Amino acid sequence: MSLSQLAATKALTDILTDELVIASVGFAAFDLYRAKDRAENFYTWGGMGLASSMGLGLAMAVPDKKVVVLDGDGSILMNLGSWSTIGTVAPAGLVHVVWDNGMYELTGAQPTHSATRTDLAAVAEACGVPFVERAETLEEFVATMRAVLDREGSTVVIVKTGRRTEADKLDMDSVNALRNRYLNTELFMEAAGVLPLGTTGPRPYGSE
Amino acid sequence: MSWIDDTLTTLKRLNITLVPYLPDDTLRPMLQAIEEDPAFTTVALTREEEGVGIAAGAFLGGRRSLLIMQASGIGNCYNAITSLTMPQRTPLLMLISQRGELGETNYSQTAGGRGLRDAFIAFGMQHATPATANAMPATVEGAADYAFGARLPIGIILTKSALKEAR
Repeated sequence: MSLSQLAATKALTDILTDELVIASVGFAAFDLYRAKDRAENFYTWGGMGLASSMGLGLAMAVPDKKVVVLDGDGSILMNLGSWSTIGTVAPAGLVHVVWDNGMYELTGAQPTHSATRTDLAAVAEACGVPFVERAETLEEFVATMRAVLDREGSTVVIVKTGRRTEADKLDMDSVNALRNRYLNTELFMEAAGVLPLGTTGPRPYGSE
Repeated sequence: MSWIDDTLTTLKRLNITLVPYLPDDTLRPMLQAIEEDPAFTTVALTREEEGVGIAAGAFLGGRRSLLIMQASGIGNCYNAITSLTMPQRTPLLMLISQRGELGETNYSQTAGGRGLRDAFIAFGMQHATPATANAMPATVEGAADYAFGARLPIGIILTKSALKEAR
């Protein structure tokens, strides 16, 4: 049986401590919210493909912290260039997890190119990302993440997942709750330790 | 050049230290000065919208960015700005070198250059065009307050004529 992205996300949140997490728009965000909502989670709701770039920017802003990006194969295929940039900049704290189910599941399971010829892990390696890991089972994934979170160095983790079962499908209660939660930039920034903001730092809206 | 030194001084005073960019001939002297100044960290991008994501992520970690590109590159950013930057209220300060104005000889740059400001207005984005590059420090300061205070996207558009007028 193929790996469930929701189950893997739950297993990941079980071993996370104070890591900052950026979740890509769609199931990466929905599953993270269902697995465990925490102040250190940032859920994106747009800008498909940009989670890896956001993770890079965040990792450059807080070099003493671990930044975990939860992404999908469809999203990273929109922004493969970000791996080229990450390979060059290579911030030590960045961990980019790609749930690779070979389909755009949210829009009706249309196949992505990772279902046919594109080997995402090989692409990340060719872009010079210092560490590239592959996982296909829950045990492999958890063991990989334990090792990766303990180590310094930009890392891409390609996780082969399957089409979701009925139970893992879109839960509208979570989606509606997340609609309010995702806008809470302040909560995340407080967890990231960057609040209160100084006068030359980014100031909260309406503070002047 | 003096306007470049003054602009870099202003950027540093405002704590804007991360500079994702796509190379540009018009802005080459300023980019070179930024590269040579250890106060700044530059990130060479493969495509402009990457910089929109980097600036958003950096802001979440308390770091301010200036995204530099030429006018043709902003076309690669509209979805990122309108669907990521604007809904989540993360600031975006951009410096865009104008193409397609008087004196442009490359046809492929003309439509995007001509439509630049109209596109900004259509997408609800602010823009500012200093008459001369000497006004860059003041423009950067005002634009940074707008971007980081109100948490909105803004583009500073630098024209060739503004550079000609500069000291």
